[in-house]
Amino acid sequence: MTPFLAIAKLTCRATMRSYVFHFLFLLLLAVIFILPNTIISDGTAKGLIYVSLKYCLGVSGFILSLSTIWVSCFTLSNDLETYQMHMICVKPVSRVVIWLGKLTGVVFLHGVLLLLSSIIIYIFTIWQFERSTFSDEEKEKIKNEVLVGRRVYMPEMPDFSKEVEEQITKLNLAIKEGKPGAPDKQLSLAEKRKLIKEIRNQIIAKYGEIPFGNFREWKYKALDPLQKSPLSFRYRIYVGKVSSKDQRQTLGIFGAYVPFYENEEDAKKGKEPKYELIPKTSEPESFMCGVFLEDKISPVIIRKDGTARIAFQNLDPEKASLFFQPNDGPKLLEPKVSFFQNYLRAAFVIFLRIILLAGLGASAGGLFSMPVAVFIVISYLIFGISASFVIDIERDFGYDEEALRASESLWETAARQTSHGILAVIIPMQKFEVSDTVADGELIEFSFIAKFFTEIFLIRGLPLFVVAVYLYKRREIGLIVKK
Amino acid sequence: MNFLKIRKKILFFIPLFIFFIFLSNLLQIKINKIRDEKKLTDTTIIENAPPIIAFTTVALGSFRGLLADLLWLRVIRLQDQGQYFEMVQLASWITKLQPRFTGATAYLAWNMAYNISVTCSSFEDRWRWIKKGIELIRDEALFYNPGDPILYKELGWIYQHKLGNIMDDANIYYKNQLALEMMKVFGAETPNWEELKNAEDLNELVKEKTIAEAILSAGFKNTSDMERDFRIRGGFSQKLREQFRSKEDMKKLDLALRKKWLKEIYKLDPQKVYELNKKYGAFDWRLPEAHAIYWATLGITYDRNGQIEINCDRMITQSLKEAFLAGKILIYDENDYRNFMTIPNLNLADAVKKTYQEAYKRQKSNSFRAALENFMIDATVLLYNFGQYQKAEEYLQQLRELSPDNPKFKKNVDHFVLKEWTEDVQMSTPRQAMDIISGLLYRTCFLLAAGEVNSASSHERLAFAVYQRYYRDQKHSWGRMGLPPFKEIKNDITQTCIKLFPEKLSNALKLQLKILENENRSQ
Repeated sequence: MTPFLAIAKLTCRATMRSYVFHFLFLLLLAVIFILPNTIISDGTAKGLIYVSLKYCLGVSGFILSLSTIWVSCFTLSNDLETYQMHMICVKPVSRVVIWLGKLTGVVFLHGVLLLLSSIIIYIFTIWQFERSTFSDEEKEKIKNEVLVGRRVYMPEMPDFSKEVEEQITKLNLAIKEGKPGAPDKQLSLAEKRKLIKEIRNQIIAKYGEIPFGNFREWKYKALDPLQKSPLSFRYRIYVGKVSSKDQRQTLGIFGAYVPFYENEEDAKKGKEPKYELIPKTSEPESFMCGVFLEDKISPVIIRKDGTARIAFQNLDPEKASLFFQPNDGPKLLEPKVSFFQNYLRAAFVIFLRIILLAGLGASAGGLFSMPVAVFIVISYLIFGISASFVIDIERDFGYDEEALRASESLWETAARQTSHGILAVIIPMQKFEVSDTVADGELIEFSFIAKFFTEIFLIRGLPLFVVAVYLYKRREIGLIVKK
Repeated sequence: MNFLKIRKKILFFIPLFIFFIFLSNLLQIKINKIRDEKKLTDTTIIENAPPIIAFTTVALGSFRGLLADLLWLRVIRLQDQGQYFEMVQLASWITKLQPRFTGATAYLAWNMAYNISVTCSSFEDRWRWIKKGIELIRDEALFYNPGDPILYKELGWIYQHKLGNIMDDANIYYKNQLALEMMKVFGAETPNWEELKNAEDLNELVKEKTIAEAILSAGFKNTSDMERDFRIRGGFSQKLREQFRSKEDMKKLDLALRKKWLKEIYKLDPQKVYELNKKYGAFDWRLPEAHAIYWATLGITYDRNGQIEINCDRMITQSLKEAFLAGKILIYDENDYRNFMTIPNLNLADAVKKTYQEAYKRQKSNSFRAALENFMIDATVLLYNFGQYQKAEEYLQQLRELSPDNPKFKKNVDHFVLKEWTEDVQMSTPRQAMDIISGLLYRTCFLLAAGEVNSASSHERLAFAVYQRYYRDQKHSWGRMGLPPFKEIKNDITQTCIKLFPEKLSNALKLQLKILENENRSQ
């Protein structure tokens, strides 16, 4: 244990002597202290806290990541290039211990920095909130929508893929037979892809459409029946079309199924109550379309089985259709933990990212020279981002492989499959970005952390590190010649 | 031998080297010229740039373009998602990264003032976004590019179109807010621009012993501390007022503070404002049209290539016309913006006419001629409505000279005005006729309350003339299409006004009615 701790300690010391680390450290300090004071929000109290929290956490996480990559690559490769490693290797210390010691040193140092910066950002956010001259209403809004950890529930959605498939089959047949009104046979692959994407979007939009006078109901599952505090309901309505342009105010009424007993005896006996759809307001409410809106809703709507139903009626003054995009929910948000707890989880996710980056840096640093190691780690991360970007196209097609293949060239299919291959091995680091979630007041679920820990850390990260350590162990360091 | 060989080589390569250097230099000059012409580079160092701009310009080099692109993409994505919290910050960063790319800044400002503002249902939120758009151009983009005419044009457009026009259903709210904001800076409804332009420099003024002592003895740590307090209150605190040895000192300091406030925050130079007032007539600087004219005039000043002159000319003429039609605030209300009301600024009539004529001479565009004719018609009616019969007659005469073949202008002024009004009434339903008559009577009450007795009386006469005209047109179907007696309508409207007007105005109206009643009795 002594050599391990000594190496970790020495790594910390060596890191603190590095100029690049000094620069990044100063940058981190600047971000923590200067950024919140220079941030310009949209002028609202919520905007100020939201932007300040999101940017400070996001940027400090980014700087720490950069620093981790640099330091972890530097600490191993530099020791080899300056022959320091040769001095250590003649001592009875295994290379695994050296590697782990170095990694621990880097992780410890950056962990401490993360802890410090997180504490400062947290204190600053709370201080900014407390000392502010915001109105009570605004403060309440910030407390309920930003400084909280809320679990997000999406309504039940039908499976669109079958309908999309049917429509595409029909379309292909129409093209083949040259039916009137069918698209040209000479349609390029890009045009075909656009068409299929449009069909899918139309089907989804049709699902989200509520014609004038009609109702729509959403069912939510797995809510907490013991919930006592009010739930939040976040939604976005579009009028006429699903587009950020040409939106205006509309009218409508929200309602929810609330419990009631036909007589007192039933209530006393603890019988299952009946549920009745009660409108939220007696008069139609006015809603601004195209923007997210949030309302409070009583927890009495949650049934014993954890389900809840919410409804909406379109009463648009111009009798236009209203749209709710399936991606927007509407979401039900249930307060679960305090802001502090949620913030801690976010800091932990950033810490996981630091461990992974340190592992990657140490793996590359142990095998290559400093610039090559940094280049490899950066390339690795870029591969992860690019591969995710390439396969994002599948989302537009509802993960329908056949529809996609019909509209893409062989090269594009190959690129997509390669991206899948890459993502099976590479860690898409951008998925660790949690500043948005925290600033939105959404809960960072333990299941999310556990999923990352197993899928990314254990399944993809650990084998890579084991291979890197093995190669490092096998490396003939006597062959390294300083140029 | 080797030495000779090397020397030969050197003798051969040196001229070749010089020749290539010369060629590449020629080519480089040409490339640089193309880069400048096509505006492919942005290497000019901005004078007096704040440290952050100097840093991004020098340290990031060409990469700041990439960074600005990424931020731009984020702006688009967030806008599509309907998330606007970060917009102001991102717009500010893009402007700082690409301070010379004024087109981008103008778009971002327009986007905030137009697209984002209308996504808010609350008028207060809309006003906030419009102000953010104005601030982006006025405080950031113009700071880095004080000579860019497009920015002046865009800024003027926001004032003219977004605030001045009636397209946005919150336009009255914006006008009321702007008026309240400007009055806080002016310290009055209308400041004395001559005094303001001659106001001393604050930094020099506070060096005067008596003033410095007054500031310190009022408990302020320094001038900035006092200035901050002045801007919050919109004037001096009672404690500071008591410390001044003379009223003259207080006035000097007040003017210096307001001048600095106008220049620093609103970027309005009292000297230029004074010149504009002198050129066109006294504007009401609480209204957006005056600001639109200010920025459009600056746009023309900096427009060396005639790129935007026509747009700025249009902005000036249209805003002048608006300032004439509704360029004087009659009522503003801190508590209820709906009471906000304007009346014509008749002093501007000649200036507007002259500007139209000059713009037509300069641009040779028929649109200016048609606009001039329309303005003259409106002006004739309005001057008549407000009791300036002689001037209305003059304008009608000029219309006859402008379009000698138009029979419409051959009538006398009474008939011409009545025809203009009754043209609307002729085809109207009882409700529409009632709206016109009530509108005129409502206005009569406002004018009466504001002490404009002559204008009020001509409004009442006009309302009666419209009523009579409607009666003549509809007398055969009066049973179905009729209106209550004129006296009854007048009485109802007056009582409604007494009830609805703010207390101060309502009392003024009651007083004027009493005076009129007494006058009638004595007659």
